[in-house]
Amino acid sequence: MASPLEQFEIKTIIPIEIAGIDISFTNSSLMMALTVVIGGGVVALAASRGAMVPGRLQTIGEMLYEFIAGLIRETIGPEGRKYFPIIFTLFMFILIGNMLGMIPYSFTFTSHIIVTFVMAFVVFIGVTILGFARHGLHFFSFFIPPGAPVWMWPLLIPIEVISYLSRPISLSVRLFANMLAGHTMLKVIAGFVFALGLLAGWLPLLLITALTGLEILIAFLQAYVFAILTCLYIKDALELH
Amino acid sequence: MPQLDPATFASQVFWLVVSFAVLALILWRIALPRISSTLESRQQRIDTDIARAEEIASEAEGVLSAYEEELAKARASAQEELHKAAEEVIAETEARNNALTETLAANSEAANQRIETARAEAIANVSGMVEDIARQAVERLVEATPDSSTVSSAVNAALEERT
Repeated sequence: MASPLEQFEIKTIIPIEIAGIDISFTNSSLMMALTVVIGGGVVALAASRGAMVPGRLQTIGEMLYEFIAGLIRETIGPEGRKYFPIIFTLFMFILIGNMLGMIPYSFTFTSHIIVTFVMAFVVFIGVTILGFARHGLHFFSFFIPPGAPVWMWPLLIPIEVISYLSRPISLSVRLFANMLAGHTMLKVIAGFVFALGLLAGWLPLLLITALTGLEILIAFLQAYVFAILTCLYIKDALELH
Repeated sequence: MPQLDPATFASQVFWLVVSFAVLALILWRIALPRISSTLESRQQRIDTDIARAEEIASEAEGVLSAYEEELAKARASAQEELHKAAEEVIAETEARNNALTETLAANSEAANQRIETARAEAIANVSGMVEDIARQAVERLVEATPDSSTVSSAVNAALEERT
């Protein structure tokens, strides 16, 4: 019986090495490429017809569009329109990556901390640059909670700074841990099905069926959470408080 | 745990950046503008349709109110016409009645006069005849011719007594 963590192993498909750095095309890269094909393809196809009365695919595309547009309108406000493409891309990339991972024998690239961390870190850096570009040095006032008495500042400012710096960590670990835990749990319970055999194996099988539904929900939810937190960070950078 | 193997990091980050960039480019440059323009044109179409429907509704309302006004006017004029006609009829009836009454009065007056004259005539005729008869009777009875003036005065007195 394979270890439950075996599903997370990176397997090289096409070995590539440039300047001594291994950038081989792996099963992870394959799923990312599939994500691009599916995500870009579905939305581009949905957009291509532009019918007054949308068909099925167009409705899906427009629903996704309205969903993210509504999310941005509610969190950032009308100023958030500029950030729509990047948040939409983030949401689609994570959502499809998570969903593809739910297919048995496929690979979930969002279950790797390096992937989620790079995304979260880029969001963090982008938002910080945005904050400084918008407010200059005044951006540092973000670390002073409004209404706090001055004598509390020495205590509050370090807390605010630490919480700000831990954003990329919490953002990336949230997604990574959810994916890791979910898929590991499914694998462990799937192992029970075989271990218990015909006599009692149907019990974990029922459980795994229910959990698969839950995991699909989480796959969506984590993409949504990543998108909404990015929106909130952008709003913080724009408005400070 | 395969997640903690740094040997795979470079490859994952490289392909993450590449695929994310490609997806972002497809969505940002091709797909999203089209969806947005479709949604916008649909919203525009809905707005113009609603505006047109409202326009038509208000127009219909105007027509209805004009119709009602016209109807009320027509009703009022009909009422007036009816009133006038009734008054006219009443006035004419009265006039005719008066004329008839007058004619009747005149006719009866004339008739009375005629009756009066006829009666006077008749009385005159009767007195002449009575005088003759009285003279002849006197002649037969007393065999003398009475004085005509005596006879006439006697007859007249007698007639006066009767009438």
